[in-house]
Amino acid sequence: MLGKYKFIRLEHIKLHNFSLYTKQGRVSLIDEEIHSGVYCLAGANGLGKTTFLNIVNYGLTGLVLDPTSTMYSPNEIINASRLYTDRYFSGRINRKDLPHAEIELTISIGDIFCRIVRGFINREDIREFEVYSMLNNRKVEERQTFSKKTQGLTKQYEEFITNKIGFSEFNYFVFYQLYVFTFDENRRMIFWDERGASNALAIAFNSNPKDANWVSELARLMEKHESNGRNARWQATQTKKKMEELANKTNRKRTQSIEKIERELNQAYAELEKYKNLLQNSKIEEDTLLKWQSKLNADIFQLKLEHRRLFTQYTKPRSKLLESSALQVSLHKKECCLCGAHGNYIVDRIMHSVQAESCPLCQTTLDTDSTNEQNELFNLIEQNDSTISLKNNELENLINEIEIKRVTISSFEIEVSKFQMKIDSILEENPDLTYLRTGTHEIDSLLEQYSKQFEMYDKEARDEYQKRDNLKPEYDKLISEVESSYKSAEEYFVPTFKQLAKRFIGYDLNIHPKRTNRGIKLVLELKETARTEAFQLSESQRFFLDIALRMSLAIYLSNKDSPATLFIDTPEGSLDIAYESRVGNMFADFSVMHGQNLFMTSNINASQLLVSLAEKCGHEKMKFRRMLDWTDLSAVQKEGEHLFQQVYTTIEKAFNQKKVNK
Amino acid sequence: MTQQVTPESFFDSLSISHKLDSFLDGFKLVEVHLFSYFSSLLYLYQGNAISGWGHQYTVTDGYPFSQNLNEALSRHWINGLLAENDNYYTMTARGADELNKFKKQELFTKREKYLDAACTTSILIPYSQTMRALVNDPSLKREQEIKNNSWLEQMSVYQKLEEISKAIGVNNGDLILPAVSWIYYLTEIDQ
Repeated sequence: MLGKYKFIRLEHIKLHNFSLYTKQGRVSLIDEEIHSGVYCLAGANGLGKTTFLNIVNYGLTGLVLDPTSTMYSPNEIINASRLYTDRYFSGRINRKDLPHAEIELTISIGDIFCRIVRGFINREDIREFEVYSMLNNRKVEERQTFSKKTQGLTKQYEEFITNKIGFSEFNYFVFYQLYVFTFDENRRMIFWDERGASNALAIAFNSNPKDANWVSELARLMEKHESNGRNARWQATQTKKKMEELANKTNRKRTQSIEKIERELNQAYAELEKYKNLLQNSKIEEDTLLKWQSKLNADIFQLKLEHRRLFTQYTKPRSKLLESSALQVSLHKKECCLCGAHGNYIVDRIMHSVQAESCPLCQTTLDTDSTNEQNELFNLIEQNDSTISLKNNELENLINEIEIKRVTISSFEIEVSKFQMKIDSILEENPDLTYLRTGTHEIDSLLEQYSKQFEMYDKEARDEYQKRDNLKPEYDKLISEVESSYKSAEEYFVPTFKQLAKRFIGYDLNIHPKRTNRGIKLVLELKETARTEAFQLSESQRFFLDIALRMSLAIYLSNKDSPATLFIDTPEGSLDIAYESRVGNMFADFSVMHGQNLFMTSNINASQLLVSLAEKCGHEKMKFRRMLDWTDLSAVQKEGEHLFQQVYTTIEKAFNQKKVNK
Repeated sequence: MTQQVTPESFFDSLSISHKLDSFLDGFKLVEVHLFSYFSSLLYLYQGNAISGWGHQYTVTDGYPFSQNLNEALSRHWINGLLAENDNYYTMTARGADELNKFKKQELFTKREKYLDAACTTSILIPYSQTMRALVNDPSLKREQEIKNNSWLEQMSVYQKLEEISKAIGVNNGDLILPAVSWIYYLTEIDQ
């Protein structure tokens, strides 16, 4: 595993017709020899240092990274940055220069050299590509030469890079070059990013290149399935929320409307029942009253008959003489039965005696029992009258009571009718009341649709998670192999990192691999406290420990004949002043002690980083390049030119200090 | 003497006879029928069902006639409660005693106010005028004209009486004023 990759080393950079670098009206031809060790391009702000670094990476990979914090997997990185790359150079190259602008890179991988010329029209605009070896500073063998007309230069180049470095895919080179070996102005911290760390470590610590590819692909697939599952779950959850909201709403509505209707209906039924009972009872009472009335009427009728009979009896002729046949003949014939006299006066005189209760013949007062009989009859009449009167009063009250009862019955009948109509009306308006779910067919239909959607999303989520889980055993197996490989690499990798980190931070750090949901990452222990989260370290600590990890990885992975080159863009910009010198020492160790290369840019300032680095590297291991030769200074920069000169002087002194130390 | 005597006819005939006897030196029996009929109108006027009055009337010789009254009057005469003198009748002391005995009875006290109101018009209006007016009752005249031997129908007369009473603002509880108004009305239409 140690030294498994032969990384590229920049030998020569030529930049043609790149309009950004214009001096005194003419586009400068950038022609830089890059020696091993440290190449530092120093310049004022805005002169194009970062652009230059990006141009070189573009020349190597055909990409400029999209400046987002998202860290893509090797399989995603090209597509993710393609559009940004296409836009990046417009504005930096004049339109008239664009067809002729090109980056020409000469790189070496071990003892093999490669020269590539790439235009800026598109990332596949590789115009020249040659591979050769050098002997006594001469090209001795042209292994491959391709012209502009040769088709498939990009593919040839990518295959060459992939094979020579040892990666199984060109994507891995792109990933390593742009993420692991480049610390750009976006300050992506690969070892605090689980995805980036997993991919970097998987590529670094897999014995089988195919496995590295597969673990990366598995991670991508798992992540995709998880993402799909998460999306589906989210959709399912949203759908369920909608269902619940709808249900709640309709429940509330149901509570407010349906339950109100049901309550009204139940009340109506209860009232109907009540009034039906009252009506029934009242009718029974009325019936009883009517029967009593009938009985009273019958009684009164009988009493009246009796009364009439009594009166008839009472008024019958009281004199018994009228029952005498002789007297009756006399009255009938109007003739005296004794003397035979005739005339109306006969009747008058006879009746006068009868009414006076005396004998018409002898004038004797008659002693009759009629008075007693009359008195008895009178008493009976009086009693009967009293009884009839009581009965009449009773009947009158009864009639009143019946009338009141009838009014009551009428009112109950109205109430019964009213509540029956209300019930009929409610049932007519709510025909489904007895089997309602929400009360609205439309809402039920919507709920059903949501339910189906939920089931669909739920199933999709479960399926996606299942697919992810199906991949996990294999992924875990591969990650276990990465862990295993890392364990075997620890013997060399860990001390390298600890040494570099201590150079920077001042004390020993422990580093451990840790399995996470997304794969594997390295966890730092600082003063016996695990620093798993970015916020647990200061910004400058995080940046430079991340750089230290990259350096350690590069040292560990690079073949001794083909060291790696780390691209670092203006590192001093995010550095505490206390750490400037320490970072310089760390960079120097990486370059001098471990034989690796640094391709960096730097502001022109009084940073101790460059001074310290220059002191440690000297001219032999470090080339300090001023951008003044490439481009014009702005008015402000011209005003401060003497200050820039002082910095250069200081750095030159530092270089010289190296000589003295030697 | 197999015919029954109703309590109502017994009392009405006795009471009206007594009242007419008080106003006049003697009365004819048809006048008792006439004032009885007038009393029935007042009874109806005060919201009672005419069926509860106790006797119905037909028209005979231009006067109302009740068989029940006729029977009661006969009994009264036979029993010496009324005295007859050349077709004019007077109430005897016996008759007055008899009336006093019965008029306290419940059934009769309720009728007495109608009988009293009807007969009181004879005090307020000259008797001859009252008699003439009552005989001019439209129902009587109508029945007299058609000679159909029907029961006298009091409802149309009652409605007219009520109409008049309302027009003059008579309280429903008062009977004298409607009675007098009715006589005046009948007098007026006669003229």
